Order: sequence, then C-alpha cells, then structure tokens
Amino acid sequence: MTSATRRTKRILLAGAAGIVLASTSSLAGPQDNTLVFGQSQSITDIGPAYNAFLQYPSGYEASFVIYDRLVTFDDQLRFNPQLAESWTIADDQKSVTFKLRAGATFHDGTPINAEAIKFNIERMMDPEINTTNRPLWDPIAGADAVDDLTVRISTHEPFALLFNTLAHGSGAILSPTAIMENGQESETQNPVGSGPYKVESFNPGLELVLAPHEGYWAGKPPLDKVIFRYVPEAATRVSALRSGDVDVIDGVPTHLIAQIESDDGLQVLTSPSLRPMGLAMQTTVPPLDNVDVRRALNHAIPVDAIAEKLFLGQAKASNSPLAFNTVGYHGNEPYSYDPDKAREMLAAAGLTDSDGNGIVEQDGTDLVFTLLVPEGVFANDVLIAETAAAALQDVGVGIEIRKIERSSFWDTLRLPVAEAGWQIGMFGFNPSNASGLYHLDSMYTSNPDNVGRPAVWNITRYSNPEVDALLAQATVTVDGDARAAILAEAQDMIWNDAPYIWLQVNNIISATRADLDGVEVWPVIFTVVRGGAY
Amino acid sequence: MSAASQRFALIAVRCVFAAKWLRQNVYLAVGTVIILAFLIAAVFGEQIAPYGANKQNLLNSLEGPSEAHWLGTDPLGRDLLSRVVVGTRHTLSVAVISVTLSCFLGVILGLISGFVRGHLATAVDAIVDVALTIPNMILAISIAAVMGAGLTGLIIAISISFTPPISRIVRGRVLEIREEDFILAARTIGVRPWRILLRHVLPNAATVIVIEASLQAGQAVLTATALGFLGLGVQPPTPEWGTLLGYGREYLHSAPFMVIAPGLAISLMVLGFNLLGDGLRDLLDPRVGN
Repeated sequence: MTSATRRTKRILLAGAAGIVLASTSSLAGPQDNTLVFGQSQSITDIGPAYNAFLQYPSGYEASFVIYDRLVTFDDQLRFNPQLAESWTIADDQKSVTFKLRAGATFHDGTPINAEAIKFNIERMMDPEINTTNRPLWDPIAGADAVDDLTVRISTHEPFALLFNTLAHGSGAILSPTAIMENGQESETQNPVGSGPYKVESFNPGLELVLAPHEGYWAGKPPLDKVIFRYVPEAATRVSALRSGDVDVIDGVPTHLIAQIESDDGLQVLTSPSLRPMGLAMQTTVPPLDNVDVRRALNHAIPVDAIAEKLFLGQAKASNSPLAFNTVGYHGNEPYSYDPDKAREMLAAAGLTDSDGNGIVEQDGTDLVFTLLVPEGVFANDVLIAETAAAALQDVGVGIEIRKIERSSFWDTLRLPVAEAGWQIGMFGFNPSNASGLYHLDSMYTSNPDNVGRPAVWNITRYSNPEVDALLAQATVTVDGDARAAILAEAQDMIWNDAPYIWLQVNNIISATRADLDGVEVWPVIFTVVRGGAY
Repeated sequence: MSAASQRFALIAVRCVFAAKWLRQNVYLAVGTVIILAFLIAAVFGEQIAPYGANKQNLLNSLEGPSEAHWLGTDPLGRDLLSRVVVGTRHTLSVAVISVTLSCFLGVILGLISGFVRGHLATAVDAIVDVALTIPNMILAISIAAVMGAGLTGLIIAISISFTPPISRIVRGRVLEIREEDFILAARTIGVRPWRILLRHVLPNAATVIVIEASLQAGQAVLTATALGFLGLGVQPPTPEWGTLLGYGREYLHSAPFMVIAPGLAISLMVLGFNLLGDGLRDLLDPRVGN
C-alpha cells in the first residue's frame, strides 16, 4: 500500500470516528487540568521521517510536545539546550561535540545516551527514511558516540546551519528500542519520544491525546492531559475558545481579534511571521518567462491596501524574498502599486489589447492565467486571490481562479509543469529552522529537472546560476556577517528577477485562555503548547 | 340602467371574481410574483444591480447596510445587494435546468416502469429503489465531489439525485391511469401502445409532473446553495448564494449582514417555488378539495 492510499484510508477512518466523537463532551480547562488545542489543520502523521509531521503546521506543533531535540528554539528563535547540556565546536568547524543531560529517558524507559542520538542522526541522514527536509540533513556526515553521554556530530563541510537542523522538528530524538521493535514506520502513528507528554491515543485527522511522561527529565509535567483537536473553521475555533471547549486556538482571523480581546477570560498571542506570502509564477511558461512581464504584474497589485484592509494592519507589504525577521533578511526597493506603469511595461513586452475587450493578447489570443489558491490554508487566501485577480484584470491580464481543496493543494503546487494546470499559484514558504539561507535555498536554487517535480520548493522553476553560486557559497560560510552579506546579494537578484508577485508578511495570530501560561507563538508559524500550565 | 353604470357593475363583478379567485389561489399568486421577480433579476441582473457584482473597493470593506449599500459590503468592499441580484441567474438556472433534466429522465423511467412492465421495468424499479435509499444531499455531494466545483457538475449532481423521486411519482400515476376505462377502450380498438402512452397516459400524468417539478425546484435551490456553502459550487469570484453564505459564516459575529443578504434570497426563492407548487396543486389536482 502506498503512503497516499494509507493516508486516505486513515482520513476516512478519522472521519467516521469524528461523527462519534463530535457528540461526546470533553475535558478542557483548569478544572480538568487539561489543555485542549483547537488546530486549524489536522494531524495525520506524527513522526519526523516519512513526510515529516503531516499536516502542516499541526504535526510539527504536536512534535514539539512529544519529542525532545538536542537543542531547541525559544520564542525569539535563539538556541537553548534541551537534551544537550553543553557543546563545543571543533576548530575546523566541521564537527560539534555535545554533552548530554544525564538521567533522561524515553517514554518507554529506554535511557537517552550517545548511542540513541547516533541512531537518530544516522536515521535522518538516510534519504529512504527521511524523505523530506533533505537540505537540512544532506550536509551532515555522521555521528559518533564518544562516551555514554558525549556525542560528536560531523559535517562534510563547515555547515553554518547545523544548530538550525538540530532544533528543527526533524531533529526529534526517538526511542531506538521502539523503532527496532515496532518497525521504522511505526513513528508516524505510534511514536515514542522523550518530551514532557507521551501519546495516549491518536485518531489521525481528528484528535491526538497526550498524557504526562512521569520520568521527564525536568520533573513531572504540570498538566494531566494535552489534547490536539482539528477544528477547521476559523469562526468555530473562536466560538469553541469562547465557550471553553478548547483552551488554545491558532489561525485567528484578523476581524475576530477584537471579539476575543473584548473577553477578559481570553488573550490574543501574535508574532510576526517568517513566511512571506506571494503568487508563484511559472517562469518557464511564456510570457511569464519574460522578467519585464513578471515585474509588470508586481506593479499591478495593491499590496499595501491588502495589508491594511484585509489584515487590518496585522501585515506588512514584503520588500524581500525573506520575511523581515528572518536571519539574513535584506530589504529592497518595493514594487510600487502603479497600474499605469504595469500596462506600459506589458505593452513594451508586446502584450497589448487590440480587440478592445480589456484583456491583452499573446499571439492573437487573450492572455488568461489560472490562479491556484487553497481555501483556509493561508490567512485570507481566497480574498487575496480575488483582490489579485481583479487588480490583474484591471491591467489587462485575464485571471481564472481555481480554488482547490486543502488536502490536494500542496501536491498540486509541485506537479510537473506540463501537468500543473496553473500558471500562478499562491504560496508562502515557512523556514521552519529559522534560517534565511535554508529559505532561499529551498525556494530558489535551480531544480535538477526544470520541468518535472521541483526538488524542494522551487515551484516557479526559477533558475539563475549566479544565485545558485551565492547560495552554495553561503552554505559553507560559517561567519554570520559574511553569510548575511552573501544572502543580501542573492536577495537583491531574486527580488529583481521577480519569480513571485510578492505579497504581504502577516502576523501569526493565536489565542488562549487568559489563565493559561507558557504557550508560545514562534515566528516560524508554530504555536507551541509544550510549556503550558494553569 | 345607463351604459356607464352597467360597465361599472361589470367591472365590479369582475373584481369580485378576481378577488375570490385570488383568495382561493393566493399561494399561486404570491409564488408567481416572487418567481417572476427572481426571473427578472436573473435575466437583467447586471442592469438592475446598483454596482458591478465584482467591483471591489477595499476602502469600503465590511460596511453595514446604508443608503449607498442597502445590504452592506463584503470584505473586499463589493456591494452585497449587487452580488445577490447578479447571483440570482446562477441559482435559478441551476434549479430550472436540473429540475427539467430530472423531470425528463424521471418521466422516461416512470413511464417505463409503470407502463411497459417486463424485465426492463424490473431493472428500472430496482435501480430507482436503491437510489431512493440514498439521501438526496449525500448523493449530490458525492457526485459534485467527483465532478469538481463548477456549473456542469452541480447540474448533473442535482439532476441525478432528483430523478428517482420524480420517476417514482410518475410511475404511481401511470399505474393508476393504465387501469382506466379509456385506456382499455383505446387498446380494444387497436391503438399502438406508444401512441396510448403519448396521447392518453402522458397528458393525464402531466399535472403531477408539473406540481412535483415546481416543488422540486425549491429543493434544488436548497441543494445547489448547500453545495456552494460546502465549497463545491462555483469558482470565485462568481457570486453564488451558497458560496456567499459560506464566506459570511466567518463574519457572523462581526458582520452579520454578510449572511443575511444571501440567506434572505435563498429563503425567498425556496418560498416562491413552494408556494407556486402548492398553488398549482390546489388549482390543477382534482384530488385536492377546493
């Protein structure tokens, strides 16, 4: 059975279970000492390998509670020790030696030692097992157990982002005993980690129930239960929070913030995001292969108005391929909203409206693009698509919106060019290891096969050898300032080549009960409930 | 009596009769007026609507009902009244086309199973029986999910899911008619079966078909908008009532007028078709006491 059919089966089963569960009342709030997180996306896989924590970002959010990593981020994305107590970087910068915390155990009682770390690192290096997140793991050469509580991780070249990789969700440390006994793929449904809460029951696509890990190295966790529940509709999530059915929600629409803030028992948590939104253009498809056409389309969209009116100020127009708070961010000159200029640029590129129907022609036929958009994946996704469609039509570019079901959205984005069926698609990459280099590398490094499936997330098929060279150079540049200078140069080039119609960077907005402490909203769009307590 | 007063008396009598007829057929009258109004909106939507249905103005986003925008505006500043008016065409044409199609199919299947008999009729009966056990809405959702969002899928989904009940009603009426003396008489003098079917059975079954069709049209409106509400209707920015209602749901607390506009339109159209159906039944069906 392929993983896709298995997933479909799981979702169907979850749907059936949902009908039963929906009718039962549940635990929540301080009286039950239970934290219920109403999530905007469902969880179907909770292991770091084999597709890594589906769906997105819900699976990652669960992983930060179930698993420990060697190091972790705080809500400002600084590195903090977790399973590692301390570390030393080798002089040649090609290895780091970690001293592990003594006395930590997995949920199944297996002690966490250097062998367990080595097992996990080697497992994630294997492309057969770790099928995604390859740019994070390919630079790693191996791991050695120096003694029982000391492990050395080495890289092929000096690897600037080693800590980002280890703090990333895919750096989760799993019990080797459980993997050996239950099989490699058991992690996706029945994982054994060492985080403060362990899996009690899992209904894929619906609900994940966690119980405290009594042997947790930092002492007994404060909550009796942590429950992740899928609540797809934003308005329903807010109602559930107000009625006390859930204690934490993510994906709060901007127009409902005031409603939550007016309730003394609730609080809104926001964080600027690292995910810049945009409309990806297929740069191999004429006339989008012409950089002037792509720039013209960038002048046609009123991004400031979108940020102000649709996001009520909870967003800012982008001025770089990276978000403002990403490490390595470098601002550029924004594309001004200027429809007249856009029309002139299109005309200069040979796209004019000669039959007077308001749409420019390309080789005698009306130029109409299909704009792919999901519903409920990105904040205000359909509304932004409608705004963009109207604005592009205003400068003479026909747009047909193709709204697509959220479960098939990510795959449709990555289809080979000939099968894609869209020329413009809404997308925003979230650098989940907080690195601008990883972000640019994933989105803009040339694909080996530029008409097939993109190797990572270069869905525009953007290809600029100078950018490729700069990103390759940045990967082996360990000095932060020098790396930032290289990334700035790459950002300038990408910004000017405009493979995207750049849109906004919007805040991540979550909300919790006011008496719940310790919930963090990370700029990498994750709402992390690991430290939650009443 | 002068000619003038005679004429006056005649007009008065006519008015009395018209009033009596109207009182007896008030459902029909109100239903007809409502559906006619929607029909006009469907045909001349763009001309009637005060603004373009897709004309955006972000500066006016989510404004409540006002003199300029009677039903308020949506998050993109589009006039909701204009969107509802222009959206009439979509919903009305889905209802009318799919009910016509399902009547056509239903009548054929009903005639076969009621009049023809034999293996073919048994097969048709079996299929219709099975189809009747599946709720309309579930059948329509499944078909629409396979066909994808769009007008054609919607029409096919509703037509197929509405065919079985119509076929069943036609069958019942045909079974009644085929036992009538005039059919026996026609058979006796050697009229061919298909001629009996077309000249005698079908005209006599027409009444139930017309009544059922107008009642089903109301159901079709509900099914079509429900599919739109679930995101299986049309692609944005087409102003379809169910889709408008679906978007409005998120704004139920902050901007309730987002759902009131399309909600009223849906209710009114369903009411119109139901009144029309009830009125037609009162007028045409001899079995209903008048």
